[in-house]
Amino acid sequence: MKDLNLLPQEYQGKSPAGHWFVLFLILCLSVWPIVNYGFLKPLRTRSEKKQMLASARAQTGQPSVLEKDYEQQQAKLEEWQDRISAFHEMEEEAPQSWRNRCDVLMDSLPHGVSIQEITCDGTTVVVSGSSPDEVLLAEYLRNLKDSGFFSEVRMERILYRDNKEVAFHLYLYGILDFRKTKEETS
Amino acid sequence: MAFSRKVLALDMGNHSYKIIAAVKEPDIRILHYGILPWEEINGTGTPVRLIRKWQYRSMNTVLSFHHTSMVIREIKLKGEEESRFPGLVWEEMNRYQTDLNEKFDYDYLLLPERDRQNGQRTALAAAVSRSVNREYIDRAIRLGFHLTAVDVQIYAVLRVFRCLMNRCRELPSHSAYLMLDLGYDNTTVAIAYRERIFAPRVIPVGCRCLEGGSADLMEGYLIPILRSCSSLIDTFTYSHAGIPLQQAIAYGGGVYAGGVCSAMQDQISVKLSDMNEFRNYFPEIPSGMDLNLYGNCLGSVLWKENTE
Repeated sequence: MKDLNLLPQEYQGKSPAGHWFVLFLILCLSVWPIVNYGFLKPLRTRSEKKQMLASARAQTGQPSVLEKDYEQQQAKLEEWQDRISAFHEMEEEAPQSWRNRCDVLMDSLPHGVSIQEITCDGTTVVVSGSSPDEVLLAEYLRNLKDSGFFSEVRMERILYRDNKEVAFHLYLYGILDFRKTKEETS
Repeated sequence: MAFSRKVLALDMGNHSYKIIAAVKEPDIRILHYGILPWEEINGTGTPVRLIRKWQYRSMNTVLSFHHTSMVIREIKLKGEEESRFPGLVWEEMNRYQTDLNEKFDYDYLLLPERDRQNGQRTALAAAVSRSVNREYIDRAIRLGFHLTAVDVQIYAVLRVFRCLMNRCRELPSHSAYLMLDLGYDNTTVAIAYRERIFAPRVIPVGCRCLEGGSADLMEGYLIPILRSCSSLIDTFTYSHAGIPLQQAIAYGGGVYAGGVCSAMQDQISVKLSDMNEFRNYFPEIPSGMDLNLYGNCLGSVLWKENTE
């Protein structure tokens, strides 16, 4: 039971409970957009995108197929690289290659120096010949060194004859890449 | 609505405004009390300054006033469904409004007991002219009071009576009491019995008319009051034969109009006392506080939103 109260409703202040309810409502309304747009919506969008990605993967095939394709292409590439290197070797062993080397040996000869024999085992060239004197022979050696086609030029044997003439055996090591060296010198 | 421990009771009388500021719990303790004369209320800014000084602005205020338009009725509610009771009370009040051609603000409460014969519930309804009610409310708000309730003065005094009857053996609770509120412009007579008020009547004469001081004026003031008292006592003793009615209690500023109480005592058959005679039964009120003047106000201090 209560005591009589003739204060009209419109004059009565809101109850504290009512105040709290209104405050809570305002708080909810202000927090809701933050929660919705800050957390819920991004999460929803993320899950949707995940689903879309999964369905796209299902349509385009598995990632392992792509990897297999990549491996096959890589294997083909290696095979082609092997073939190209084989072609390079073949080119180095070709008569044209040897002709170029002989040209270098001949072009480096000073006037009067002659070559009697040239032997080659793939990595070393042995040149035998004769020179009117040792000065010209030394010039021949310098020319060969300066040509840049050989990594090392070494005099193996010199035979002095009566008329200052000398016979010689030269060892030329490390035949460098003929094309590259030629390009550099040019 | 939550009601704080501190309360301000404001009795807006025609002669003056009475104010009591009190703490209600655990026991009632009067903090301040005072009278604001009518001239000051309408004249200088003293009341507002006083209100501010006493820090009344933030306190919940129970307002009470007295007006001839006040209607108090007991309405028998037919039917069992309590959900229909508000509608029934509204219909009854609407009938009053139509008959009296006046809009009312009203409130009611359901009395706990049922009719022994048919089990009907009774609603106690109080109504007052809407324009008058709002005029008083607006006036109080303009003065800076924070209103919580508008109390019905006759029930405010009944609370004080109940308190008094619990403490005073001379006033047994099984008796009925004639209540006489001798106001400045109006006089209220009613019979109180336990929690009920029987047939409250407002007589449009007040002690203002005694300000001339002549014997004719006294006669003109007393005759309508005594006639109403006699009629009321007769009606009550006829309809409630088993309930003793031996005591009348007068209060209000009219008690101090010279010779009024003694003249009344000569004319009525029951013993007449003024309320301040019982002030010793209220140790919680300050010694200077006159119960005849502050009776209504003290009753509003006891106003509860939810009574036990």
